[in-house]
Amino acid sequence: MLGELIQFHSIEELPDSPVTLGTTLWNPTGTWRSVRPVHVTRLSPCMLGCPAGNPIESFIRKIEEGDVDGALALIREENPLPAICGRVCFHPCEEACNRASMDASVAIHELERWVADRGKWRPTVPEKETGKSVAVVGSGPAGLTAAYHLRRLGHAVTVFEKEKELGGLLRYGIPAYRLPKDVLDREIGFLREMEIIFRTETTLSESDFEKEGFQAVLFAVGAQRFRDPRLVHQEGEGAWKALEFLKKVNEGEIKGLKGKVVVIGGGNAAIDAARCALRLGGQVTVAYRRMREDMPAFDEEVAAAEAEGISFVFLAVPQSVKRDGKGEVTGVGFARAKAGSLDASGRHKITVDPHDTFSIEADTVILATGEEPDEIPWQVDYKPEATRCETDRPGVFVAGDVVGSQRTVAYAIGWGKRAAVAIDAFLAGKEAELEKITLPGGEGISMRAYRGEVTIPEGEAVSFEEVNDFYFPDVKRAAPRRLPMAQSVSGFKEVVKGLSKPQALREAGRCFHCGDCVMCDNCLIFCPDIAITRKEDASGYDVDLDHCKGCGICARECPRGAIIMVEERV
Amino acid sequence: MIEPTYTIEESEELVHPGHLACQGCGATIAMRYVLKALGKKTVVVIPACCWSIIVGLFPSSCLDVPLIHTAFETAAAAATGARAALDVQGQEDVNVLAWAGDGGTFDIGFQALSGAAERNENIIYCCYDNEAYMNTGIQRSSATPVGAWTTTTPQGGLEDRPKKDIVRIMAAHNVPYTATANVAFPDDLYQKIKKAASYKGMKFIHILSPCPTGWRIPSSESIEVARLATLSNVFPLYEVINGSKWRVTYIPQKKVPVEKYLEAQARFRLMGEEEKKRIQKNVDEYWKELLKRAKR
Amino acid sequence: MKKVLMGNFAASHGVRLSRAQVISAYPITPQTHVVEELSAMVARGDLNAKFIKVESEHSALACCIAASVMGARAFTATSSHGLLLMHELLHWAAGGRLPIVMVAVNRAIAPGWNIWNEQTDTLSQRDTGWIQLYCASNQEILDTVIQAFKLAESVKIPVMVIYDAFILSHTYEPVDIPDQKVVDKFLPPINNPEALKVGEARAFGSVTNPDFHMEFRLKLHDTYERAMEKFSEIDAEYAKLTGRNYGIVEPYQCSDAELIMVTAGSLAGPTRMVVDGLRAKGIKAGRVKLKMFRPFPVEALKEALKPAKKILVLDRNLSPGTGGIFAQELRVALKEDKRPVWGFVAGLGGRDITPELIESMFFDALGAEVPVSNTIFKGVRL
Repeated sequence: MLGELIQFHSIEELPDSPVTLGTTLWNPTGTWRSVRPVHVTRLSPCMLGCPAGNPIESFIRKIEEGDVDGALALIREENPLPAICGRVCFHPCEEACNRASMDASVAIHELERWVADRGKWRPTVPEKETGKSVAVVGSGPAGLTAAYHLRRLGHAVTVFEKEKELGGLLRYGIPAYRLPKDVLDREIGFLREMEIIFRTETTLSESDFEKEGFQAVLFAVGAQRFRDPRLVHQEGEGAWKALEFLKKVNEGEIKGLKGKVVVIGGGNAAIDAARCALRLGGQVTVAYRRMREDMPAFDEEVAAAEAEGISFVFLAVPQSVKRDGKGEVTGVGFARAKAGSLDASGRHKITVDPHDTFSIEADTVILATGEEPDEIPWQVDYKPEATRCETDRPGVFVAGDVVGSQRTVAYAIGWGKRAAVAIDAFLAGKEAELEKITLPGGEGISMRAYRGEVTIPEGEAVSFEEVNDFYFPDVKRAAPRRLPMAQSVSGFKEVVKGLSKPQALREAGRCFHCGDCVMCDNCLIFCPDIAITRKEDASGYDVDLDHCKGCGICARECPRGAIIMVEERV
Repeated sequence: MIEPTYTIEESEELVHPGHLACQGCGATIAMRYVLKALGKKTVVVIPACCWSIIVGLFPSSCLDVPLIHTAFETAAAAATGARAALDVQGQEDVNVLAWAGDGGTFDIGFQALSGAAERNENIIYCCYDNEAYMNTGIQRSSATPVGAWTTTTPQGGLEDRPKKDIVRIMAAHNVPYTATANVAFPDDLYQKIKKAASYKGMKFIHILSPCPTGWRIPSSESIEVARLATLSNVFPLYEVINGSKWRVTYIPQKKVPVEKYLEAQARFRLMGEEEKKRIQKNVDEYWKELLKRAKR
Repeated sequence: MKKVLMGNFAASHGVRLSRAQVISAYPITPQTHVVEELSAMVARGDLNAKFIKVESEHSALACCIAASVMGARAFTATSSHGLLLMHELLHWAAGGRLPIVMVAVNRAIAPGWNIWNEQTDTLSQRDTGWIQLYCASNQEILDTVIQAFKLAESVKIPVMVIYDAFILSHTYEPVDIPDQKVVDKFLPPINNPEALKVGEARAFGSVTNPDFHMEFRLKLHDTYERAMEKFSEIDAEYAKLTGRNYGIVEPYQCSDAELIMVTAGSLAGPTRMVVDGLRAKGIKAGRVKLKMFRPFPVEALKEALKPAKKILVLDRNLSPGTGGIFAQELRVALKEDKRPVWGFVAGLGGRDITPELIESMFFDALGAEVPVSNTIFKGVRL
């Protein structure tokens, strides 16, 4: 704010010598400025990295503020399965994390898990019912997520699950040592409290759909169809399809395995199967056709498997299951491959020499060579990666692995959210404006933005170059507590035990909070023009544009890129 | 809780906006924190320097405390006089702050400074060092580092005399408190001024204050470059109690090569590779010696 | 109380009686005793002041300036080279309207080194804005110091109390030291409403652009003119309390004098003697002692010089190429006047000015209608 310049009207009014009588506040030094600082909220790269659209930066800030429940409530605005995501997600957010360029990324998934395990949250029934009714087929992560958000939007939701229990891949695919069943049950329990109806061991026929008065249906049936490697003698006892094997293990139907187990494949199912087999008593080898670095399985999972004593054989292309006269499995025959240059996906191309063969002894073989999307039992057609979850039939939608090629829990949750928005818009007779709620440059969408509670920041995410790393001293990334190895490999107890409270608080403190002002005062502290003040309600800062000379120190010294310099229009 | 980064207490700003400092002026930031630490019961003495202008033209002053402008070479003497007047008036609790640039301290004002230090006058003398006569248009002072371009050292590094080691000289006067500070480390600066104020007698604080105009850097990088000075050990942060007890107050976490500091500033653009290497060597030796003196 | 004091100690007593609060000084012959005695007075507790032994005259005055800005009564003393070193700050003090009092003991300027009497040092500071008061006796020194504080504080202009090296500074004379109560009555504690105060946001001496600089100088100039009147009032008031006063100018035997010699400082004594001698010889001689040189008392001089047909100026100083400084100033003051002015320069660097030499100057003027030249050097040895 400008002050007034003292005026003198006669020589008598002047003091005897140049002794000042007022402040410099009258002086509009703001006119010197060619750029002005603007405090902004910008996207943090972690959020762009999260296909589920988790509010990562803000929930970590809640942790730092000591509000674990608030952190959990924030996550649950977007993601109904944080306890699951925090355990099994392959955390692409951490790859995107700017801190990775300094020391190591923030252990975001561990924080999410910690919040989900420690925070208190109770679901609520929507205040207003829309009177519309939606069927969701499939209770995997995509289906559960869609059901949750549709319910929050006021629709009646019925989930159809063909299996005996809910959860899809979460229950039948992921082993308990990674995702304990009670964690899954707890998350599903919340959904039940929201009065979502679950019907297990049920499918939904087209006639039932109409009879029961659903206005829309979502197929989130997953991708469990076996991709057949067509090995010689693969049919028969002793040779498992990975998902079937995992299902039986998860159902507790396989109590033990004897002898040698060869798992064929390099994906997550292969590693899950291998680690399960190990726990059941097997001596396990994983055979993969390419190299270690080409494995689609998450690196951490592969490393865990190695640490547990599972052997790996690479450049081994399976040819046959070897069986003895009684038909019992004795081994697997392979052709040796040679690694060549990298292909478009960044993996090694291989050439197979059918004459250069070898075999590995085995009593059990598990085929983990991949899965294909399941068939939708209705007459309906859709395009892969249909971002609006649409099919050729109005009111019929698809989500999750059945439509997307990125088959992970986080992506499935992202699909579930998009489907909920698409269906909600459909029920209102509108086109879903997904662009407006998609984080620019990312894949996740924001339900809060959809409900008009927040606006998505414009512009690019904060880059590491815009982070002032001086303000972030080196702090070692938190390593979660783990079950001792001997206990890990002898049962299905959860291996990773998560962070302690001090660990979590320290880890949250490692977050740069890219693009989000945390009121650190740096801009105010370093302003040579004393032009920055805290807002009275502590919601941010005011810039005194009458005096700000536009030096740009504030933007430069903002640790997290939350101030931008905007050119003044002449 | 998000930990507070600074220990600077909430207090009234004693520097008003509307002052005449150039964009990104480090000396202005320095004054803010020195006055925050000293509070309203302070009398400031300023000889000819950038701050004579910054503070504003008659009839305006940007400082919320009494200020005595004085001749170029007289900061310490005038501060002595102000101190004497206050003492004789029974106002012994009032701080007297002499606030001079490097020219007014290292060069023309040095005699008066040494005199005041020898007499152990009860004043706080801050030299905000922007490493040349910036106010008059960037002429070399004895605080100008080797290799820096100024309008009177147009060949940069040709004038090969090291910067006067003012803090050692002042510490050699055996005054109660001498220290270095850097505007890029406002907390350290603030705490040192607080500490200085707690001693009776002469206190000397040498504050590195970046000058974007004279250092040939964008105004936005003022703090960044000043910080590099300390991170690279070109300008270590330390204090000396009673001329004998040395203490390093900031040890850089990660070592930054001097080159990075030099290359951030166009005033060093004439410097050759050999020269940079020599400066690195000198900086390393000085740092080692400093640690030895500080018994670290 | 009467005491036999050398001039320097008379000055010290004047400062003590004036209750100076901040004294800052640097030793220089022949001023040294002033500050020696003052430091002894402070040490004894006779004077409640801060005595600062600075490292140069420049710092001495800088120190006084800041003390004065803060409202304290400040004093310094110097001479010759010390005064010249202060030159920059003399301007600061006057421009800042600071009521500082200084004792300046007139001494020659090197090279070569010369510690003896000459007035060029103070006279070359004539444009700094300080009031200059020249003293002719040790009593006058003491009295003038006390008057100087009152004058400085009432017009807010610094005052220089000036006397000759050795002839006064080191010479003992009986001096009446007034009672402290009398002086306290005459000179109340300093109260400068424009002084800076702790807690107030005012800056002394700010950068002043062309919009204001000239007005400040005009104000100084106008007040300077009034300082003469003010001094007369103060002088009269002082006379009431002590029975002593000196006047801006002191005419002697001027009412019917045809030849009047103008001089300042200790030369007032010998010139008076010479006038008496000439009068005894029937020559109508007179003498004007100039006490106040800045501001220059044009009207008072004109009045005192009215009867004279010929005017003589005795300068113990030199503006090389121009001549004696008093003569120069007087000629300007009398520019409308047709009367001839003899400008004599004598006694530079402590050379004796004997009564005979002074007498010869009167005879020079008697024997000619106009001076042989603008500047006549007297007592040149080689």
